[in-house]
Amino acid sequence: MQLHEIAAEFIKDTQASMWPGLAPEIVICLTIMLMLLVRVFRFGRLIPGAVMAMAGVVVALYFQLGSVAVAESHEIFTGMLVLDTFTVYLRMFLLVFALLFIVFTVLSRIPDQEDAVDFYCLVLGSTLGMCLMASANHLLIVFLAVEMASVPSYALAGQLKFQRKSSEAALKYAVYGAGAAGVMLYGISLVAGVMNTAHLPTIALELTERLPMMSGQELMVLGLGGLMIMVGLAFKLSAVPFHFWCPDVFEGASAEVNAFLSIASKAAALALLVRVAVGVSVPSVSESVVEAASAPAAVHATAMVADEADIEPVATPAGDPLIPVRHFIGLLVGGLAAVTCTFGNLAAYAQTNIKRLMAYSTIAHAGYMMLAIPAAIEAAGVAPEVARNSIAALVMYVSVYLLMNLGAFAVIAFFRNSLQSEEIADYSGIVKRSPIITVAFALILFSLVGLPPLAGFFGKFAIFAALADSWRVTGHVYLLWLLVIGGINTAISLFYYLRVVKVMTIDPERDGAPVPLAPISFLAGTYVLILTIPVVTLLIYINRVNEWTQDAAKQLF
Amino acid sequence: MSLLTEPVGVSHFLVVGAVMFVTGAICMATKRNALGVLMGIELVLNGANINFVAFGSKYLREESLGLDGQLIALFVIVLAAAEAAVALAIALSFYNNHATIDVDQADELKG
Amino acid sequence: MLNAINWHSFLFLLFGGMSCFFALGVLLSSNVVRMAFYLIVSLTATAGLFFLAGAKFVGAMQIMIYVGGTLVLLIFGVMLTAQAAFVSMKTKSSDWVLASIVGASLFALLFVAVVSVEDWRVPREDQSALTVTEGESATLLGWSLIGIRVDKEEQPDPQLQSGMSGYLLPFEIISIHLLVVLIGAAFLARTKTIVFHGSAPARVFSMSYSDIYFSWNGRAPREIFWLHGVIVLKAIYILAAAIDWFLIPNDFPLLTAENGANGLGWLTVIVALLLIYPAIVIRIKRWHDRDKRGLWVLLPFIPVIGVIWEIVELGFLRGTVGTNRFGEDPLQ
Repeated sequence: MQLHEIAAEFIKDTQASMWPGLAPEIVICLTIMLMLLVRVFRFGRLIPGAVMAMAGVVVALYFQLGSVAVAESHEIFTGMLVLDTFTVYLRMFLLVFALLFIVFTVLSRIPDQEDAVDFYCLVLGSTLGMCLMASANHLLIVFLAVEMASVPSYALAGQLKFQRKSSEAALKYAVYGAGAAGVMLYGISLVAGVMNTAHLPTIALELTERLPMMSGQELMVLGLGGLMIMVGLAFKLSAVPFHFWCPDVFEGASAEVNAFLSIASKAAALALLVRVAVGVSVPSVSESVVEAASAPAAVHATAMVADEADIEPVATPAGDPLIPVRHFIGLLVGGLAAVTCTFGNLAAYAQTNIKRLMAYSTIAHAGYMMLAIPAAIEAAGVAPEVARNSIAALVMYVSVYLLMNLGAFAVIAFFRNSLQSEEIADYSGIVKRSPIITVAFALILFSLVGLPPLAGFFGKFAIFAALADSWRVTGHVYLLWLLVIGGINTAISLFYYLRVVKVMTIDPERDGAPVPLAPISFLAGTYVLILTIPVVTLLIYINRVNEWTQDAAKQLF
Repeated sequence: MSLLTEPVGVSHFLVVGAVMFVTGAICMATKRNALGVLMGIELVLNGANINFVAFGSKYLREESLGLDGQLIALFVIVLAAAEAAVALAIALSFYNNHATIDVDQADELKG
Repeated sequence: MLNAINWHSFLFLLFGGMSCFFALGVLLSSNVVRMAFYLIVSLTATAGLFFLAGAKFVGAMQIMIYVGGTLVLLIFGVMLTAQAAFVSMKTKSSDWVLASIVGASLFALLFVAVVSVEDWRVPREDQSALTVTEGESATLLGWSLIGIRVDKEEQPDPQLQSGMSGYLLPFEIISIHLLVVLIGAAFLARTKTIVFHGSAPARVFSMSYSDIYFSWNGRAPREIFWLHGVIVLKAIYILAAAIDWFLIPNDFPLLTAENGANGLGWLTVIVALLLIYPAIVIRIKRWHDRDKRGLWVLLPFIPVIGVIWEIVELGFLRGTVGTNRFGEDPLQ
């Protein structure tokens, strides 16, 4: 290959991918710069930051919606990013969230006029990093995107900078976050060193070739590196045992920032986990569609299939050397997920502060969502359609979770503005004062439990169905255990959400409870209703949502 | 004195990297001064960087990570600078509110 | 004796030893000023290691950005917070024990891992024969940063070639990241003129929603007209239309394609009719605010001029100052 050929190839690639593939990100970049530039002029300072940020996000969404559908998964920017329907869906998700989030912050008035531009710059900068997380195809982008998403959110956590708790939250978040990122980087260096490349598909390719004859030492380094990368991702997901920052940061930061951290950040981290897990363990579409093979179950001799005689494990393609890799990832993520959702749900009981309660609820939900990944990864080589369904279930859960958690944090913020309190006990008897918002909040909490026919039920059901399906085709019993743990957890979680509902509705107003300063504004109530209506009525258009999520997952396997 | 007479391999560099990584990690865990914790972060990132450069070096082995190692190391240096800037701003904001930089005093939020 | 010494290895030992020694110094010292100094030495020695590995440009950047930039930043932090009591903060001995056990086992694990891999332990045989130009990488790095991997030429395996990515995207996007991060740092460091925590400042006037949407008595300021008369009503209308067009699937039993799933559906029509009433009463109250009678709502029936007139008068002009025949001034 001659130099001019490489250059020509590069120029072609950039022309072909720059605008069509990356238009929303470029628009976000331009918005950030514009927001900072107009401050130089006097008239620019009169434009509220929220309006500019919202306009930028709307334009980015417009370009995303207007772009041609992605026909097949392909790499852009000389292999740095991958563009497929999953990327597109996640990007839309993040942009829609950003839009709703900006409206929310305007209604709850948390960044005042003075801080608004900086606040929205940080939000958009972090969103940009999350978009990259969803499309990462290279280990450098994995690290870069995590940093781009995290570092602005450290500053966001310290946004109420004259509150002791807020600056403490920011310090803890920054220190733990930077530590986790450092460990992740070290893990990346080990993996890249063993594989001699940092490009995820090439790693999968190399693994396929070299794994059977790798020495034990190399495998150990590889496993160590994988674990360290998982530490970084688990931190972003607030998975146990890397969850300890989550309740503290949530309590110290404002409810608005909590919404941002618990929705956008989690969704992006899950997307990145999917990217990394699928990237290194599923070589390419053509190879994984091997269905004709008929090797016996000897391949997965991990002794997990031993105790079930009646289920004939569907054959796995013989000699696919990546099966142990997938099994490793599946067990790792599955184990973390099970511990995470159990711990989150149990710890939520003792909480008296609503933001801490929601923090543990966030941890538990991260656990539920992670359950989809072992299901997808294990099924990837055996039955790609099951794997696709699992990822579709994940996408469905994440989308539903956006509505529920944004609604919940919006209510928390509006109650805070009205009551000046975030203690659950102070919500007593609030149903008399703001009945509509209280009912909406109760519905959202029921949906977080997963009671049918609310939206949360469909998310949970999809994930559990995916686990069962994946167990059926692969025969790994641990998937069934994950299903059982998930089910038990759903039952456990009922009680602490119900406690909040009970305090709000049944409990009489406490003596000495804070007197509401201001009634909750009409627009705030409308906003909560707009988020609650789809949570209640998802039932009607579940088929449409199903189509979207299936579409999002179809090019991954 | 074989270390003095024999040429060095990748492993030698990796050991230095591992020392830096572990020291940095312990620094982050034990230092009470928030700035000490930040220095620990720098050490961790630097340990990873030594790995990247060693893996990418053509001097040390034939099949290597190649140019990617050096490129990633460059980006990590820049990212570390960015992270340090924000972490320092946060530490100073903490100092302003608490009149101390001792992270053990950060205990209002029970973990 | 001297001839037997491999000077490359000697320098490696020197720089590597310095890096490790001063890194340990950072760990063991409890004086933050000393720690900063040790860190500088350690990171500078690391730059020496980069030179020895042939990464000259990275080594230079290490000195310039890391030592020259990042560490100076940290030292500023030390100076800003270094009061006598805080300069030295000793770690508790119980922490030390725990940390050294965990640290030692982690190091042992990593040490075994990196030393045991055959491919890494054995140095390249022809190392001493390699010339200086072999490690000439600054040009290649420059090309890679603008997206062109010149070293692709040397990669024989075309499958691996595709994994040799150009770094244009990270190079570009990191500049935005730096911008955002600097804004974040400046935001945190800036003092604030007003301390403000979320609570809404008491509103100057208040109207109940039933007053706004259903009553045609009294006066309404411009804010009500824009917020409730324009934004809210339009938003409800758009929402209804969106539900009609978008969310209710064609096979929804109550709403088949004939009666309107793909067009103005009945929901939109009903909502639009229902919205006429609040739209009128808000305008009436606004006309009252302008000290004019409610019949002025018919003004838009005059083509063009009427509409413009209405928008200017209701949307932009302040109501009469002080009490008028329709009620008190809502802004006072």
